[in-house]
Amino acid sequence: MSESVGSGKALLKILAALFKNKLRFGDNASKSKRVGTLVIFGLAYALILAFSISMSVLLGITLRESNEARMAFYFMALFTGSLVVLVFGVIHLISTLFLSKDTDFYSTLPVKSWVVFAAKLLYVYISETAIVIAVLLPALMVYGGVVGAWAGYYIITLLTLFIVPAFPLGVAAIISIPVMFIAGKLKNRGIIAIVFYVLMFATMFGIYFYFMFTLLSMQETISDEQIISLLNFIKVVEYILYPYVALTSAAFGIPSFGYSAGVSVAINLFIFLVISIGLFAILLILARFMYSMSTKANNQTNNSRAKQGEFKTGGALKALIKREYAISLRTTQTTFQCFVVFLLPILFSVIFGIMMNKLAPIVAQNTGMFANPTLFSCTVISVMLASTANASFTAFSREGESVESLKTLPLTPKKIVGAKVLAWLTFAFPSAVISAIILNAFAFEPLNFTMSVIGFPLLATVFVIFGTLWDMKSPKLKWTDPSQAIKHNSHATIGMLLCMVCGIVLMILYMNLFDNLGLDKNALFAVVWGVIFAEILTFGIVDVILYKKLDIYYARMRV
Amino acid sequence: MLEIEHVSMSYANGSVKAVDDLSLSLHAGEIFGFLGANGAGKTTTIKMATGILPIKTGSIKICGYDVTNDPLNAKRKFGFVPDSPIVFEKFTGREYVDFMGDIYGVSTEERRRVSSELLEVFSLTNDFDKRISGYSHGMKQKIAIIGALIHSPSLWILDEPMMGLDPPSAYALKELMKAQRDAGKTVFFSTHVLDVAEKICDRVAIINKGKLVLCGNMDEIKAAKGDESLEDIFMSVAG
Repeated sequence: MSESVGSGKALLKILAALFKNKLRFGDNASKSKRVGTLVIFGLAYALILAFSISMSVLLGITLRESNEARMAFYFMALFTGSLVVLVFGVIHLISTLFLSKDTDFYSTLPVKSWVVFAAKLLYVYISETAIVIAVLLPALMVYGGVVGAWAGYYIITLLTLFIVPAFPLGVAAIISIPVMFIAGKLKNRGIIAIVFYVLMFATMFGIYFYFMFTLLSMQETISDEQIISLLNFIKVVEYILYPYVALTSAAFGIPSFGYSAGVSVAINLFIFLVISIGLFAILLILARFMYSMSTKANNQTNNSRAKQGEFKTGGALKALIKREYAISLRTTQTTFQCFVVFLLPILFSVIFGIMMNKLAPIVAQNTGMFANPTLFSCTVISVMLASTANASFTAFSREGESVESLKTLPLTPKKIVGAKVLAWLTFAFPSAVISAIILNAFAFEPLNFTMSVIGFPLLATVFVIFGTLWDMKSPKLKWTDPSQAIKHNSHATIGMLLCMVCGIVLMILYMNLFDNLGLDKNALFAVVWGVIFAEILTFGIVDVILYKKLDIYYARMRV
Repeated sequence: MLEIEHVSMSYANGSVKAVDDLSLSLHAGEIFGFLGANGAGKTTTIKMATGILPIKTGSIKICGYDVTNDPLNAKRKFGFVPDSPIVFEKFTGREYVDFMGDIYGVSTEERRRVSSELLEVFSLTNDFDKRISGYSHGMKQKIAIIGALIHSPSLWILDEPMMGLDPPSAYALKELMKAQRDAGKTVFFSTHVLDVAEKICDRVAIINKGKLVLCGNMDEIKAAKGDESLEDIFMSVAG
């Protein structure tokens, strides 16, 4: 008994430590930075709440007359919340239970391994539940009031939202197992996680675009066959997500299975709870398995026979570039932040290319906005190109203490900066060119194509140079985990925002001002590209100014 | 070989003097021990000599090249092994040596010759093509030494080199230092291990609160202090 009390206490201590470690500010965070961060989080949450509550009110007013319709919103809210938990749950489960770096540390503590595992699983569960409750609870409570739900609705919603994440987390654990197995076979376990995250987001976007295209390609009159196939599809979804159907029916007190409302509520709640508990049990078993695999992977020694290599001679610049990539591949997070971000402008050019060219004409017909959709997309991509400098903004911060080793080598600061800039331009330049080509492929105009094929790579180039020099000016070199060089690096964040400001202003002006002013196409074109090239010139000048101070920045760089 | 002239370094807006008007002169073909308690200024001096910290007062020359005015030529003349070797975890040992070879412009043949010799000395041959992330602290120290010596420098600077080395490796390192000296090169190292300094150093310098308190030939110092052990001498001037 005393042992289990001890284990319980240890579990709570570890759980508290996990949350403290996650939520606490660093020691070097100033008061203003802490307040600023909290204000930004508060504002973001307020915006999400305002959006979700206004949706609840608007849809509640529209849907309250029909029982099925008001249940549909509730069901969709649960479904959306679960989808978020599923997507982020997979990442959270893998990173907390399988890829975490603290496994060795916890192994040395006089605590049973199941206690550590349970604390970690609880940590994931509570984190995910908190997000679901924070976003859904206020919206669903307001919705209940608008649609005139019975008292049971509030009690059931309040109590069951704590159980809702069990379903998606159970599914997330099932998805995680094969990912983890493949990762376990590789030296760099983080890489497979990154590939998986990219594939997962690509799948989500794929599904989104599939539905969007389907909707856009539909004729004004829908055939009977289409209606039947749509209904069949909805039925399949309902079967798959039956626990939520049962919960929705219970929340609205809908009689089902031929029983009275009261009995139906009890049966539906029972169904929801039993399935959720079953999935939670699956989650428990699989998560336990993941954690034991992680312990085994961490205990693997380096005794395997290595393949005999050979010396390869190259220049100093090539060696520095290779080293830059090696430093960036240190952890999953640094790899993600440095390499995957180059896909963002390409991804956005595909999304905006499709969206603006399919939807903009409809919007333009009704409101007069987006008369020149490709040009608007160019303003969006000019913002997204800042992401191509993401790796540059922490190019020196990621060095950490190794910056001192670098300084002992016979290398000029110019060569070091040059290698870093070249390393990241190798990715940024093609990313910008591909984005320009894709964007213009949807609606080809020779002049816009020429401007974007020249302008985008130039913008990416000045951003990459700016990012490297900006970071060199004040790098964050004191950290214990390389991801800290990226995560809480306010200097890098400010630099990144500076790169985005001009594009964001241009985007907002385009949406709110230019279209309403009735500027003709040529004038609009001249304004947009004039501003983008002015931005390139400005950053070019700033780059030159920073470059002139290179030696000063290099000399004062120390841990 | 290494000329340190009136070098000073302050921290915290001048309120803490880490190094105070330090002057040292190292000759070719000697092992020079740089001794001092924790926080005495050893690492700060080494950091200034190797170009990590800027020299604001005084000057440091390596093989005649000023570290401030001609840093590249000065840096080409020495090989440096820091106290906690920061080598790249994702590289294999060979890739790390390749990196250092590329930076110093060392030919493939020379890399092969120097590394095979040192790998043998440190019993690291079987691990050379494995990732550094799997190395122990001592193995990382060894690969850092191989990287530092790949260009056969005239001056070898080591900050607390014995830390983390097992007895055979520590012995091998001491023998390597002697071999460098015998080849007419200079070895400059900081250490807390007074026994090591007593056994292998030709000359030592003791630094206390940033100031040089003792410097000279090992035998001369001992004779002047009544044949006391180095530990007793150290305690009397810097304890």
